[in-house]
Amino acid sequence: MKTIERAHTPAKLWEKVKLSKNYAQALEQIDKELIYWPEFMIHKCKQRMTKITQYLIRMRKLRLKTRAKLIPISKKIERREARREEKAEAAARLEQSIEKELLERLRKGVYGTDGIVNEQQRSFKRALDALADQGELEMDDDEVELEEEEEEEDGEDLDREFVSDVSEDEDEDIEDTSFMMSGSEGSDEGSDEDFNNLEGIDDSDEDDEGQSDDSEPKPDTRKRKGGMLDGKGAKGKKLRKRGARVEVEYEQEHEPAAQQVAANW
Amino acid sequence: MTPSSRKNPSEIANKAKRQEVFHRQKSEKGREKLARRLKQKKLEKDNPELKEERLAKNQPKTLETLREFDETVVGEDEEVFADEETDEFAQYFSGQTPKILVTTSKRPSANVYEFAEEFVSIFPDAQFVKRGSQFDVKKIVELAIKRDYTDLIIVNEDRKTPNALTHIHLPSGPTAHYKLSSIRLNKEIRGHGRVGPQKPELILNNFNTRLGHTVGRMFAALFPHVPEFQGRQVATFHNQRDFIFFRRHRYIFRDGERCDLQELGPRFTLKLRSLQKGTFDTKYGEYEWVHKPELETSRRKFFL
Repeated sequence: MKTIERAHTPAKLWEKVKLSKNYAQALEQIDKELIYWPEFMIHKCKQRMTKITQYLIRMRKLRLKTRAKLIPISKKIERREARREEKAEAAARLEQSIEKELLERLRKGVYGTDGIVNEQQRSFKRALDALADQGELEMDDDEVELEEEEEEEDGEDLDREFVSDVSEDEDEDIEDTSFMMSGSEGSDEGSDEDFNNLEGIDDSDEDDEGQSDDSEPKPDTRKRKGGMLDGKGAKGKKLRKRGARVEVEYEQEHEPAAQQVAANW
Repeated sequence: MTPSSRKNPSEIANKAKRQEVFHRQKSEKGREKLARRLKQKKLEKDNPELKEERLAKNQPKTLETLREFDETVVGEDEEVFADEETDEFAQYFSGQTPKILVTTSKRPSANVYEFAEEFVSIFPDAQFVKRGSQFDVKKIVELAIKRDYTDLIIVNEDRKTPNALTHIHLPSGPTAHYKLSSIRLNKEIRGHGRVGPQKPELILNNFNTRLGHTVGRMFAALFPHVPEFQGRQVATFHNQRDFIFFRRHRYIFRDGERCDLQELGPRFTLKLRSLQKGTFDTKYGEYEWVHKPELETSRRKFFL
């Protein structure tokens, strides 16, 4: 505050009053100190004080908040790293090293020795032999092969069959029943069917598909699969040729069965 | 031999002549080389040991073979194994199932969501949660611990592209910060396959040093213990020259001798920027390792 009484001592012309930290008390203090000042000046002082208190509060708040730290990116270093990354990728020979590692695991027997995952025809044959020795399986390897041939023949016949007014689903039924008659000789146990499935995995995918359709004598299993696959089975046989990769869905269907067999052994 | 062919062709002033001489010399050189190779081949055919010897001697000098010695490379080190038995991942390796929370930086763009979606699909036990703008990382860590998550991964973005990953192992760290680059999503990869729901296998390659071991264990702790082999899916973290390449494939063995791969995506590359003890704390956290330009004393020095 400046008063005319102190005008002769410029060093002491101004009087400073420290306001309280409490906002309400500070307002009262202003009122008290500026008691004979014009209303407008008092109002302006209070306004300024309010502003200052507010930004102090805001400052404290911001300081408590965490903020993302901005890190400068050096373009030169980025470029260099990108180049080195390229070279490192080439040096890594990723596919080869992954293949090597997987084969190593296969050799170590991580995937099991019975070849559930792998196409190991020999070990599958061996397993069949073992079963035949135990007498759990009624037919020999030769019979299995014969059966396969028959299946294939059936498939060819069906391709040329003249069918009138029969929907795809019913077509499938015919396929199934014909298979029942010609294929499995009175052995409708679950295990037999499982073996057919297992065989399907070991073969290439075209056979796989054909068999998975053929080797399901039980109608209830087919229902479980739903209509989409049924249609696919009949059409896919004609459309799909050798060379396409194995679809995951088929694997999923077969594997549990194969695993059960593995557990039974 | 003409006198002109004996001297360096670059000294010949006449351009036509210079070219002629140069080409003659070049073809001569090629012929000599071919003759040498054929002779060598014949020799080696009679005596296969020679070939073996040559191949053994002819090791190319790569950055890997010339790598500067690192005393922390882990071999059969009892001490390290004992250390690892008691580290933060011991709980996972003694049977705890992982539970992963994936989120983004604040106000992410669509690209980041797209990447995050594929990223989550890599880990069977991962879950994506949108980041609310009011949550700090520390707050998220707190909440995640409360909800029994074992890992928290935050995808950071810059200019609408994912550029960094922060991986926090919960409840007590460590925290790794990676630079993320060379992202290719599944759909961008030619001949990619579809991802099945089975649990993948894991391959960790070349995590050799002590630091590398820790990082490798961190990755390993993200995957379920028992893979479902019928899915034939394999996730790979391959470390080469401190770049960690992630790839995912479906494989098939042909006759038990060959292995065929189909890529499933996504692909990306990580580069470790820092490894911190404890959970995320940039101010008071204790860093085990921070990448600094000063550390790169040589091109043949690698840390992982």
